[in-house]
Amino acid sequence: MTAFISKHRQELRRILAGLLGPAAVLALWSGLARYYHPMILPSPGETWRALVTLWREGSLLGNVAITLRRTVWGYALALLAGFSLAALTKGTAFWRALLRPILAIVQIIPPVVWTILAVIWFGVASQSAPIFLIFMVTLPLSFANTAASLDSIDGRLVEMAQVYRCSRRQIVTQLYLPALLPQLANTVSVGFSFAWKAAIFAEFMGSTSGVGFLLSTANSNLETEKVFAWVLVLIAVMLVCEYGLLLPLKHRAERWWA
Amino acid sequence: MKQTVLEFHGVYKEFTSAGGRLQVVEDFSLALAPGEIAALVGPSGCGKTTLLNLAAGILRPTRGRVSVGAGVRLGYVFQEPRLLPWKTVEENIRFVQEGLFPGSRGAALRRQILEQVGLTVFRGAYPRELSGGMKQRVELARALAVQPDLLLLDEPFKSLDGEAKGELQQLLKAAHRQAGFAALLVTHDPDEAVLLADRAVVLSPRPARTLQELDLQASRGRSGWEVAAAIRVLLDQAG
Repeated sequence: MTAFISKHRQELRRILAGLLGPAAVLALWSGLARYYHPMILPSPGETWRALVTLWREGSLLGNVAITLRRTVWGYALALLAGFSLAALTKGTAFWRALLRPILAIVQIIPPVVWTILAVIWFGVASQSAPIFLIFMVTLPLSFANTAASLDSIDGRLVEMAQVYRCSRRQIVTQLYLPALLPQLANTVSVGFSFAWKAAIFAEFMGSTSGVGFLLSTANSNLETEKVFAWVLVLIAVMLVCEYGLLLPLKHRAERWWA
Repeated sequence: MKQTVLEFHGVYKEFTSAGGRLQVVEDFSLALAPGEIAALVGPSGCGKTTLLNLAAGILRPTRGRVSVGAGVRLGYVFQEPRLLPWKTVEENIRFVQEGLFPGSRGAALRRQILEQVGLTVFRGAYPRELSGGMKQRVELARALAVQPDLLLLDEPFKSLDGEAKGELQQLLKAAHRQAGFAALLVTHDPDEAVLLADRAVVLSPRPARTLQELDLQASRGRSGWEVAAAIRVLLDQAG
C-alpha cells in the first residue's frame, strides 16, 4: 500500500516537474516583457493577440499546410532514396565504400549552401527549392540509418531460411521487412523534426510561401510579436506530429515486434 | 531406391581470414544410407558444425565433393534456436512449409507434428515466451514439418538440462521410427551417440579427421555404456 502511494507520488511529481519548466519559462517571459519594448520582447498577451490576428487573416493553416507538404515530400524522397541506396549496396563492399564518402561530404556541406544553390537552380518562387534542401539534408541520415539496420539483421536467420529453400519473396517480406520495421519507424520519427526544421530554414532563406517565409516577412517588418506567434505555431505543429503521429507509430512497430 | 542420401568424398575445408589459413576438415569421407542415423562425435571446436554446414550447402568444400541425393529434402536443427521472433510457434513452422505444403495439407501436417512434440497448447506463443527447451522443441518440430529425407542436427540438446534433454531425445527417436529419415547428428556426448545413432564417427581435434567408425548396431551385444566408454577412450587418446 505504501509502495503504491509512493509510486503514484513519484509519477505525480514527475508530471508536476514537467509542467513546472514551461510555467517557469512563461513567468520569466512575462516578467522580462514588462521591461522591454514589444518590438524587442513582446509579452505572452501580445503574442497571443498576434496569433489570433494570424488566424483571422486566414494565412495560418494554409501556410502550415504548405510547409508540411514540402517537409513530407522532401523527406519521403530522401527516405526512399536512402533506403534504395542502402538496399542496393547491401553486401557489396565496393559500392558501399564508394558511396559513404560522397554522402559524408553531402552531410558536411552547411545547409545554407544547398539553399543558395536551390534558389539559383530552381528560383525563389519554386516549390522545388525547399524540397531540394530537405532532401539533401536528410538523405545522408536516412542512408546511414537504413544501412545500419540492414546490417543488424541476424545472418543466422537468413541462413536458416536458405537451408529450408525459402523463396526470395518470402525472405524479403517475412524476414527482412519485419526485422527492419522497428528501426525504420525510429529513423522516420527522428528524421522528421530534422526535415521540418530544414523546411523552415529553406523557406526563410528563399521562398515566397510557407511558415518560414512568413517568419522572415514578420522579421523584416519588425513585427516581433508575429515572429513569436509563428514560433508558437511551429512548436505546436511539431508536438502534434511527434505525439499524435510519430510516437504512436513507433510504439506500434515496437509492440508488434517485441 | 536411393543408394545414399548424403556423401562426403575426400573433403577438405579451409578458412582464410586476416589471421591466415585454418584447416578445419581434413580428408573426410562418409556415406549415409536412407534411414540411417550417423553420429559425428568429437571434442568441441573440432569442426563438426562445419561438416553439417557443408552437408547443408551453406559452405562449399575447399577440396573434395559433398553430394546430396537428388530430391533429398533437408531439415536442420540448429544448436541455438533460430526462430523468427515476430512469428508464433505455428507461423514459424508454416514459414518453412510454404513452398512445399501450402494450404490444408501443410496445416494437417503441422497439427500432427505439434501434437507429436507436445506443442499444441503453445502453437500461438511467441519464441520469447518459451523456455530454452521449448524453443529447441520448436526447432525439431520445424525440421520434421518439411518431412525431411535427411535431418541435420547440430548438438541439438547441448544447452538443455537432463529432463528436457531426455524428453527430446525420445521424441527424436519416435519421429525417426515413424518417418524413417536419415540423420547426421553432431554431438560431443558419446552416450547420446550410442542412444540415438546406428553408427558413430569419432573425430579428431581440429582439423577434423575420422579416427574410427563404430557400427553401433553390430555392437548391440555390448552394453551401451561399454561402447560409450570405448568412444571416450578414443577421444582421450586423440585430444
